[in-house]
Amino acid sequence: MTRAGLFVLAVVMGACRTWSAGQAPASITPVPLFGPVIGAEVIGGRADERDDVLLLAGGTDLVRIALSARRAVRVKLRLSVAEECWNLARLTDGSLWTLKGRQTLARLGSDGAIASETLLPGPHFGLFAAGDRLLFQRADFTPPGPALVAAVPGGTQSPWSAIATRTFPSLARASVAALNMVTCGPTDSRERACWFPDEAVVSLVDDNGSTRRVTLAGLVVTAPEALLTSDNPQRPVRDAYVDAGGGIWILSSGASSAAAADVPGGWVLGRYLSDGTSTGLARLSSAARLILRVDARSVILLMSTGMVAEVPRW
Amino acid sequence: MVKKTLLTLVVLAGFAAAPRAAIAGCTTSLGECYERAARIDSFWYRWAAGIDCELDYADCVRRRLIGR
Repeated sequence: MTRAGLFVLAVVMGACRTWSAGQAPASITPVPLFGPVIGAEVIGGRADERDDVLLLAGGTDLVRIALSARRAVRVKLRLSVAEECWNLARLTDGSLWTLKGRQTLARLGSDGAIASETLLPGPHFGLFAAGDRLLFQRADFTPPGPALVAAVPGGTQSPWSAIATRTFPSLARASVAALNMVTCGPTDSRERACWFPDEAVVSLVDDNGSTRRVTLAGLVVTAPEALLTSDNPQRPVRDAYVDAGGGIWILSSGASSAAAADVPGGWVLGRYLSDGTSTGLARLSSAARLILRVDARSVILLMSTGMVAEVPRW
Repeated sequence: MVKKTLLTLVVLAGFAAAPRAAIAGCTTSLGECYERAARIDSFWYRWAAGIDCELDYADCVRRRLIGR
């Protein structure tokens, strides 16, 4: 009887154990939760507001994804004809900011209204947030130099972090500027991940600008020239999310199958410890565009289909 | 004749400065933009128009390379 009980227990445990604790499964199928919440349009920015994720869609729309309520609401930004915005930044005081055109910092209302506008000292490529300060990427065509500067709204900009723009002697300056564009991802920790489009590296930066450079093993890296030639660039880091425990979740393009070569999105989800140690890379059965949230139980993804889906974390 | 030669040189210089390999639509637009800029008589306006071309190119590539 005891032996039979042990046998049943072993069978049940074997069935439950789909992969080793702490290690990624080889492949994983995201389970749809709701949606679609967005179309094939460009996602130009992202900001988190408690349980909601805000996306800037197509440069003109604000999409609020309420993860708990499992629904999404879209509002049009009140812009003039041909005006577009890029990036979203939400400060600790709850204010939401974007770049309108190249040279205007705009504060957004939740109804899509432009609450205020400030002319910036020159064109800019990017806007992110760190605590109570905005992080700007100036349109700088003369590397090397600080990639990001920080300022409270309306304040003086000063260099932030040790992230520096890079030189590419064989490329023209417009291409170099494009390759030096930084993206910073969401965080539930004290550090956020920022990265260049061609590197399998993230810089982990805290609000004060203290920076650690972490190399991510196992990701497919494409030569910068090839990255710029593709209509669907294979980026080693498409999105990076730092979870509450400091773990780094990476959505990477990976090598798509020939049948899916035209589908934009990442096919590989990876998890790294805070020091960069890999806990494995999982192949997604369908492509994802963003990591929306990571909690103790699951990783919530925005799929290329526009659906919100989840996979179990490891 | 001299003006035409200079114009040709400026256009060629623009294409030489263009990305050797770049996302096709963005690069085509950049080339056309350089060509328009090269037709501007004033040096400073021509230089400013060239900068605008590069900013447009960066905007274009940003959507494909960074837009998620």
